Amino acid sequence: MSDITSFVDYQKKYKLPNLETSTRCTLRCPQCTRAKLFAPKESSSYRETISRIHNGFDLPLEDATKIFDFFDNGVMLCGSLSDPVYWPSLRKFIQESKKQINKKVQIHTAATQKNLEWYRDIFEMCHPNVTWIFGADGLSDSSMTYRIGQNSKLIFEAMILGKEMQLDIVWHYIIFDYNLNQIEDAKKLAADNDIKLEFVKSNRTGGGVTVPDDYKPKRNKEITNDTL
Amino acid sequence: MPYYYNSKGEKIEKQDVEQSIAYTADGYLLPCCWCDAPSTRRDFEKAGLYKEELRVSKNKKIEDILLSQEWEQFIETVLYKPDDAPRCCKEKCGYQDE
Repeated sequence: MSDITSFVDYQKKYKLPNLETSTRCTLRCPQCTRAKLFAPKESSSYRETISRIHNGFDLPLEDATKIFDFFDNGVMLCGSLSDPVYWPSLRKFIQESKKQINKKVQIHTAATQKNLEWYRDIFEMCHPNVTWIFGADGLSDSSMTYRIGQNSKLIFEAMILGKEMQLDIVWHYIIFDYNLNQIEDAKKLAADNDIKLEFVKSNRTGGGVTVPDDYKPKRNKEITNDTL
Repeated sequence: MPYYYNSKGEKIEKQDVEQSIAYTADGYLLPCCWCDAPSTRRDFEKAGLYKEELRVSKNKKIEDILLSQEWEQFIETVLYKPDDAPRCCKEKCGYQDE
């Protein structure tokens, strides 16, 4: 990359832009930006975060389509503030993406919708280039330790249902001290259900969870396959 | 960032210098999702990337935003004056532990 033209060209040809689809999420993950909503109301971190939420809006379908049209490989719906399952235009966008079925749509989610029928309904709309990436850090009895508020049972049911419906399903598992002893069971569960499991080394220590020293990333974040 | 400093303080050139562009909750494009945090916003406001005319909804095409003067200046800074780049760019992509 040597100038703006080569930067734009590279982004267009090879990258998936990361789209914030709303300001909505029901989880209270301790290392999320949203956790600052629980800071003292006079603090700058609270004021900046609440202002960001108040100034935000649901991603207009027109903006999403414009971005999807521009990037050759597709888009990634992965909020730093929101979860794409709460985007009111998600169904319409998946429908719209069928016009360019060679492009990818990656949906990164950790929050849960109302019931399994919601997932069945939206999975039925998905084409082969839609990938669902579920964040579940542990098994159904523990993943809500970091993903506070997650309906862990439903997340696992949704992953298994998605696979049964022959969708591309990926399970992202951040390694914390509390779920270290469940890694082998997670590998078995993933293998039994033909789900692609990826372990994530993250720096998200704090708020009641710790990352074991051996599983800290060298840099910001690392994703590894199940050969861990 | 085109390079990082290792633990010995040596400047090392990177192979893949680019994160993916991010779309923010208030309708703008930023160089990556790490730039989209309350604590970093001022740096990108200063760089002009939050100007009203750079909202996605205000442009017919994405290239009209990415090829704007503000984006061009930002990329020039990251490439050729990386010490002047926003703090989060330096923190996230400008250093590497070995």
